[in-house]
This record gives sequence, C-alpha cells and structure tokens, in this order.
Amino acid sequence: MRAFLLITRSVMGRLLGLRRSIGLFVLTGSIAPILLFLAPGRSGDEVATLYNDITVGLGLSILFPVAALVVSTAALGEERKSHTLPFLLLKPTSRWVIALGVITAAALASFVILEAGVLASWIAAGVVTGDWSIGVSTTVAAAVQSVASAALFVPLGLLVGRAAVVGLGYLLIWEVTLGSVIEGIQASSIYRIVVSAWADLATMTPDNLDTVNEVLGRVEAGVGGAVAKAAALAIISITITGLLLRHRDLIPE
Amino acid sequence: MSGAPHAMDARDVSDATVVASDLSKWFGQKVAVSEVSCSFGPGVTGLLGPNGAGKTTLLRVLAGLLSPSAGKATILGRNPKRHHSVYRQVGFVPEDEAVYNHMNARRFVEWSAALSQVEDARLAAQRALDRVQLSEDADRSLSGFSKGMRQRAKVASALVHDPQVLILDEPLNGTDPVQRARLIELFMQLGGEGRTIIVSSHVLAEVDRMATRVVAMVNGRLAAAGSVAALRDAMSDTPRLIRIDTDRPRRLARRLLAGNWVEAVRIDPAGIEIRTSDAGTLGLDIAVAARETDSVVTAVSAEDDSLESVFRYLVEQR
Repeated sequence: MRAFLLITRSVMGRLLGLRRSIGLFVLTGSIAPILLFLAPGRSGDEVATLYNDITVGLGLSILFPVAALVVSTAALGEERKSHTLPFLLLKPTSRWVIALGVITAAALASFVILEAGVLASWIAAGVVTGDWSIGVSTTVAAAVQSVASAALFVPLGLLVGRAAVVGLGYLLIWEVTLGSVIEGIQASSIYRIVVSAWADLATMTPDNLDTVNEVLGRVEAGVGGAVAKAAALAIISITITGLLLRHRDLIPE
Repeated sequence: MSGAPHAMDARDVSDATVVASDLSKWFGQKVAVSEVSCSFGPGVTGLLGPNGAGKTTLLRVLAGLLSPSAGKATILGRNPKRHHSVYRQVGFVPEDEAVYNHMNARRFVEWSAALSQVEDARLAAQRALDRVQLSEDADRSLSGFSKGMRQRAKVASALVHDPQVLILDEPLNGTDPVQRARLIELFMQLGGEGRTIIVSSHVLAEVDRMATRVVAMVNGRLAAAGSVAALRDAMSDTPRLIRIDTDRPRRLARRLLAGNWVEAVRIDPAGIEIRTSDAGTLGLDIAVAARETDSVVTAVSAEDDSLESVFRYLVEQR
C-alpha cells in the first residue's frame, strides 16, 4: 500500500506540472467563455440547452479526450523518453503495484484537469441559468473519461514513441469517424461510454436528446454500465501494463 | 603477449555476488554483448571499455533492466528480472543524466528510500545526502542542478537503502575534479565495507584510482579481467604507433630501423609513423638518431594512445 501511494503521488506530481496543467486547462476550460459569449439574450432554459450541446459536441467529443490523452500517454511515456524508468523499476516493488499506481495517478491527474474545466463551465452555466445541479453529469462523465483514457493510453505511452499522436489518430479515426458509421464498434467507443454516463444524469431538452441519441447509436444511456465498462478497461490495462513492465525491455539500446 | 589479461583469468571471483553466465544481448541484428561470463564480488570492480563496448548494456542486463538474449545474470543468487525483492540489496546509477525534475534532491532520495522499504526514509535520505555532500542543496529542485550535482543525487538515491551491491554506470561523468575525487573516495569506502561496487568508465585513470579489479570489454566481448596491475602490464606490451615530425624523415627512418624495437615504418614528407613494441626505448633512441642524422625533430606524439586502441589490440590477441 505504501509503494502504491508513493508511486501514485509522485507520478501525479509530475503529470500535474504547472505548464501542462495550465495548457490543458485552457483547453478544457474553453467551454465557459464560449457559453458566456453565446448566453446574452437567451433564456435560462436556452442556455442550459446550449450548455448540454457544447458539452456533448465539443467537451466530451474532443476537448476532454484530448486532454486525458495527453496526460495518460505521459504517465509512463515520459519516463521512458526521459530515461527515468530505472528509478521506478529497480525497486523491490511488484510490477502490478507499479502499473496500478501509474494508472491511478494518470486517471486522477486527468480528472483534476478535466474537472477544472468542468467547474469553470459549471459556474458559468450556474450563474446564467440559476441551476446549480447542471454540472453533476459532466463531473461524472469527466471521471469516466479519466479512468477509460488512463486505461487505454498509459500502456500505449509505454509501447509507442509518439503515443499522443497515435492516440489522437485513434480518437479522430476510430472514435469520431468510424464510431459514427459502424454500429458494431459503438459499444466499445470511449466517447460513447462517457456520453452514456453523462446522458443518464443530465437534464436534457428534446433537442439535446436527439443529439445524444445520434451520438450513442445502439449504446444505451446508463451510468452503471459506463462505470462498469471503464472499470473493466482499467483492470485489463493494469494487467497489460504489469505484463509489459515485467517482460518487455523498456530501456532503449 | 603471453601475459595478456584474458589469460589472467580472473573472470570469476570466489565470493561472487553478481554473476554473468554466457550472457549475450542483441538488439535486432546488432550484438551489444556477446557471450560474457564473469563475476563480481566485494570491493570496487571497474568495468572498462571504450564507448560502444557494451558496458552499459551489460550493466542493464545485470541489473535486470534488460532481459538477456542468451545466458543468464544473477544478483545474490537470484534473477533480478523475476525476483524484484533482490532490489532491497541493489543500488543502480544509470548513465543517463535524467532525474525527476519535479522533485527536489531530498524528496527524490526520500522517495527512493521509501520505495526500497527503508523504515525511516527521512533519516536515511539525510545520511545519503551527507555522504555525497549534497545536504546544503538538498531542498533545491533537481531541475536546477548541474550535471555533477545530479550525478551525486543519483548516487545518494542508489545508496540510501544501504545496498549490498551498487552498480554505477559512468557515475563520474559531468563531475568536476573535486567532486570526482570525493565520489571516488566514497566508492572506495563502500567497497572497503565489503559491498560489491561495479563502476563502469571509459577512462582508465579513473578506474585505476578506485578499483582493485578490472573487467574490460571491447565490441561487446570480455577482453580482459583481473587486477589493475596485470592489465597495465598487458598494456605495456601493446604495440604503439608513434609519429615523429622531422625535416629529414627518410634519413631518420633509416637510422631508427636499425633498432630491433621498430616493427614498421611509414614515411611521408612531413615525418614518420613508427609502429613499435617498445615505445620507451624508441623515445630514448629518437634523440640520438636525430643528432646522428642531423635531423630536426619538431614533434613526437603517440597516435594510438586511446584506451580503445589498447583494447582492440587485446581483442585481436584472443
């Protein structure tokens, strides 16, 4: 337990470096100024609808996945690139504990950055609409996004040199493009898992509902299912990362 | 060359703590370490070799950072790649300059101590920082450290849990002469305490100062092993290429060829290159020959004085 906490804390400290945090907050927090810019002259309900549309169409589809991707690929990828992995690996610590610690750290660091953006838009929407429950669903979605992205992209960072670029390609090609036309892959799409959690908790207008249904396709809205899928991904990822740390040469020649 | 170091056979030590058995490591087509068998025991052992000799790869395999392609490596009788508990007894200083830039030195060393299951990590860290004389700067961020200070922080982190085996890959790189002397003294102290200290370096003089035993590598193979004195003796037999700049190269060369210590001569308009098995005698003879031939010698230099050339010679002799 001590090793797990030490690793989680240290990796989080590195991932939440000032420059990276500010840069990614600019990304995830950009929904708030957009909302404030478009809000004048609209009713509270219209602003709530607008908030939901921007959250699903921009936040959950692009901004949050990209921010979580950057953080998650850096968790072990940065250690690999900067040659600091020996400090972590040459310790009397199980590889599973290291994998669990790093993936937990990546998920927590992603959540901190995403939630900072969520809070900014939550406050903006709350001030304009007077509905202070509006950000709850987005907070849950950010949590699911953080866990799923950490599960997917931490091992990718360990395996691939330019993991952030590869991950971005995956998001654009698999999640956004193919996911919208091939129904068979929708159930495993992280974007749809996250939106299904968000949709289960959000208060939506009929317009919002149409947008969400279009995104989800055959995937049922449900926070329980989304959390279960994210947890399953995390368990698989810890296993894969642990095996990689155990058996693969991770130090360049 | 009958006393060549590969024949000294001191590849193995009786009280071995770190053992390489027929160890090979290749990356694709490139063979980095080839069939190396040797062992390391208490005291300071220098792992010598020119850049690219395979020292770093060997140390990484020994430490369990890389899996051997063939053969095996053990530390304290266990395979470190499988038995991670062995790292309670192992400290490692990687060659790379990198450290955790988001930490200060104290936190870095404390973190290492805690992960190595030291009970009082804070106290152990303070002791290790004192040992490398970094206490005064311990609360500064590692990102602002000079290369030498980073090396010392890495050494502190490697010895904070009081390991039985310390593997140090070019630990003196980037250190100034004062720091270097202190680190060498520290390694000698640690070796004197009965720990196994393996220090890689491509600088013979550094190893000479601290190591009682040397393992030399060239082109991924074990070229020599034994005491420092034996290696030096072997090197004194090595043919040397000496360049003499003179105004009358042909006359001087003819005269020098009379000495039986000259193996080959190459003449160019500006001077002579002589291959000799006895550089000392040749050096004495040059002045006499210059006087006799009325030649003006403007410079005498050793063309192949590098460790690499000496080691290459050792390998060619195998």
